[in-house]
Amino acid sequence: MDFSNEMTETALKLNSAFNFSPEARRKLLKELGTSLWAKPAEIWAEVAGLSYASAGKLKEETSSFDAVKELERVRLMGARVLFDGEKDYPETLKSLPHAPLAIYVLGEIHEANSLAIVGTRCPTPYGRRMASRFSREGVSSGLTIVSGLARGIDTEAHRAAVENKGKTWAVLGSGLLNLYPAENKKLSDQIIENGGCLMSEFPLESKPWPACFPMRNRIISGLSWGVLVVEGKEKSGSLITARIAAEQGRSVFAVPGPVDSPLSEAPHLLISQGAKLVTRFDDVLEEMPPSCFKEETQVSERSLFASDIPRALSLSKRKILQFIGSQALGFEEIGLGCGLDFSTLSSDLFELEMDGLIISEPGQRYAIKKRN
Amino acid sequence: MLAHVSSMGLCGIESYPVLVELDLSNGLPGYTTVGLPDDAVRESRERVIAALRNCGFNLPQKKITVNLAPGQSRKEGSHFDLPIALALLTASGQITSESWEGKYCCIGELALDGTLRPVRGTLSMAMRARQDGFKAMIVPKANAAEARAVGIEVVTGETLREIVDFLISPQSSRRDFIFSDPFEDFFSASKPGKSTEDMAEIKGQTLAKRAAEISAAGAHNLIVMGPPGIGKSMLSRRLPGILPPMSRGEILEVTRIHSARSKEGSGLIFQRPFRAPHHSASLVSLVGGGPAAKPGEVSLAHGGVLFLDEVLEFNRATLEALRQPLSDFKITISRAKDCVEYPARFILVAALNPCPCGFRGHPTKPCICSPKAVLSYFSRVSGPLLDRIDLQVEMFPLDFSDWAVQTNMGSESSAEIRKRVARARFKQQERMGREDFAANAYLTPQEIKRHCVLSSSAMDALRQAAQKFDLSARGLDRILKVSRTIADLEDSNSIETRHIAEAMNYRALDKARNSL
Repeated sequence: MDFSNEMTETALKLNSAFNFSPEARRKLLKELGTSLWAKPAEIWAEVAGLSYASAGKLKEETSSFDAVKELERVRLMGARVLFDGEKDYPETLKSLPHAPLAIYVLGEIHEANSLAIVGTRCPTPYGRRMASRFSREGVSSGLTIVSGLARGIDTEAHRAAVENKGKTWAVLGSGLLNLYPAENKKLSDQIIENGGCLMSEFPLESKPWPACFPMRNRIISGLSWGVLVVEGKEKSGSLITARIAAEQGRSVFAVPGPVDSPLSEAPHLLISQGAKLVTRFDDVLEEMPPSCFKEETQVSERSLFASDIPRALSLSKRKILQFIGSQALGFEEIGLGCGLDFSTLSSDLFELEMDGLIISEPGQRYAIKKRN
Repeated sequence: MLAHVSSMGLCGIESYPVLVELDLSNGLPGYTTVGLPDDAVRESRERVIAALRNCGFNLPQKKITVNLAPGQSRKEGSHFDLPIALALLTASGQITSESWEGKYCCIGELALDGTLRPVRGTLSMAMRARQDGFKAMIVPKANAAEARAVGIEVVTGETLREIVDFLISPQSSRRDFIFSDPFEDFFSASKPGKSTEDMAEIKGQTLAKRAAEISAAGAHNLIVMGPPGIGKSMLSRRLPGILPPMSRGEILEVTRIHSARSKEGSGLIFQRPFRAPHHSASLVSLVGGGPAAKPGEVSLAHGGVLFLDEVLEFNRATLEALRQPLSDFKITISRAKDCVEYPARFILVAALNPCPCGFRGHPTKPCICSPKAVLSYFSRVSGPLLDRIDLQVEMFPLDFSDWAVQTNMGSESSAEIRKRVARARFKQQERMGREDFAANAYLTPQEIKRHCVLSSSAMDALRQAAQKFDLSARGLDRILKVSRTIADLEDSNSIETRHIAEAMNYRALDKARNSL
């Protein structure tokens, strides 16, 4: 498709009416092009397959959108708009029937093997740990982590990717100028600094309407070849994402959790419906389509197992490290498990923390510090 | 005909001498009280007249004028009944006053039948009476132990008649009025607290119990954080049970405050107070005040524990008012009528949830709070206030209760812990060279330098920790004071690395805030 200025504006105007089906809008753009605005609503209805009333509404809504001003603001904030049909528009989205007409991008976008990590907004410490672990391992295998910048699992996934100098894409449910939740501003800056990007199909100033989040989920799964669900309740956005992913032909992965936790409902439901159970990152890599192995990637997970514990440590400290393993454990659990007395335990934990081998988490719990 | 009887007035918890003057003159029979009496003092007229008549004395048909000198200070309370009655009897010639005028100081409320009722503030008045050189103090029987505790001779009786009999012929009835030292029973028996709540009832939670022990040993303020229903209040309520016994001076000071407020005449207070105001408490009820400048909960908790459950639900202004007592150990209340200073040296125990929903960091339950909500939750209490709290510990649900049994920790009874605490407190008293209110929490920065001697490896550990956790100067002092107490519990003179290491455990709230 040829993208003249006029065409760009038309496409952006059509893109702004996100309440209408993308297919209908795409038809209008393809068949009528820039001559669209001269045509009456009846013709719109016929071409797009809409009722007269909604075609009228669509026309009214799209014509009143100031595309020139919007493009200027996009330029000023250093962002870009990618249109469906352009060269830079993500390859993975092109094949989708519901793909957005245009997508706003702040930061760098590049061809990549992407894995989506999604889950609940209110995770347990276990969920956070898993999100962060798989994101870290994904990054070290050369994958780009896609998620939604929401609270909870999304934040953990982005953060772990950024901390490990990996690329990560955040797909927003609001406009780029309306970052939600606001506390993730700093994280979003780090994402861009690390060569990732923020993207959104919604106009710059669009508010985070509840209805927008399921819509952006199709982009999260669409951009990736697989979706990893970490924690979620029975009725959750993660399940929606997983369903869309399956419809789009993406692989669905789920991390199991404790069976008595309501947050394990979504992953367990998915596993029972055929999603792949993930306990190690290799489980994910096995499913990666061959086309994705463009360069040699190697899993370099540095795990702290017995052989890996520094020799110089005292016996009791080695015992503690071995016992903690990959969990976060409370003071007393460690004391019981290692059979240490109070004073040895407290000074050992202190020294291990000072040496940067463990970190303390909320709830007076200790976990092994992950090293890259 | 004129009579003078010495008595005492009460302002806050301080007493001042009051001279009751009574004049009988010819004229229309009447009764006037002057010298800024409040309602209770003015009403004494009716009690005095009825009591005299019912004890079989004559009431002179004259004009009666009572003056309470000094005239410019406001007189409160019902304890002027007895001195007024005695002055009336003297002025009307029914008893003679040469043998006791100016030597005895009297207080007491009269019932209509002449029985003596207990009054407020006896201890404070007896202290002043002793200081002013009175020979003896005449008090109602229920207040006798309190007055005796300051070492002044005490004369007491059930009724006005008994007091008058003694004043007429001291030799015949004197023996009834000698009391033994009320402290002796207490110190010889050295009874532990009568509290039925015992630390041994708390299963597991070794870290929290250890924090309570350190808090008791060094009088450190304590924050207990944890999800709802974990036993934060249970732990806090057992803290008085492991506190060391009070010294003589402490008993007197604590009794003085409680006696100035309550009228029960319950004698000396040997138990350390435990005050637990509800979080709806007003500022005045917490720090004291009101028209009469009454002591508040902080002063009533003097020498004991002030427990604030759900501390973040307290009004912010109310909490911030705790800053002065927490650093000066006293509170000054200025009102239009009075300016009063009350001692307020207590162990603050504050319980709170780790976030608004209560499940942050819970091993299985999800927390539904956004980081912003948690931040604003913690910001309800200011940094300067938190800086004054030495120990922060978090309680967590655990299936593991056997560690306690296995390592023989945490199953100890309160009495055993108390012994260890008392030994540690004794070391602190020796070090600080005083008996009353000597505890590591009260160390001044100069004293910290002198008394908290670190071994060289401990110094290294502290320096590293200060760098890693970005500790402020006050934060360092807190760690030093707590490690000093931990070393005292172990009977170690110098502070070793393991003491510093343990002290670093009790920073749960700092850690929780930093992790946001």
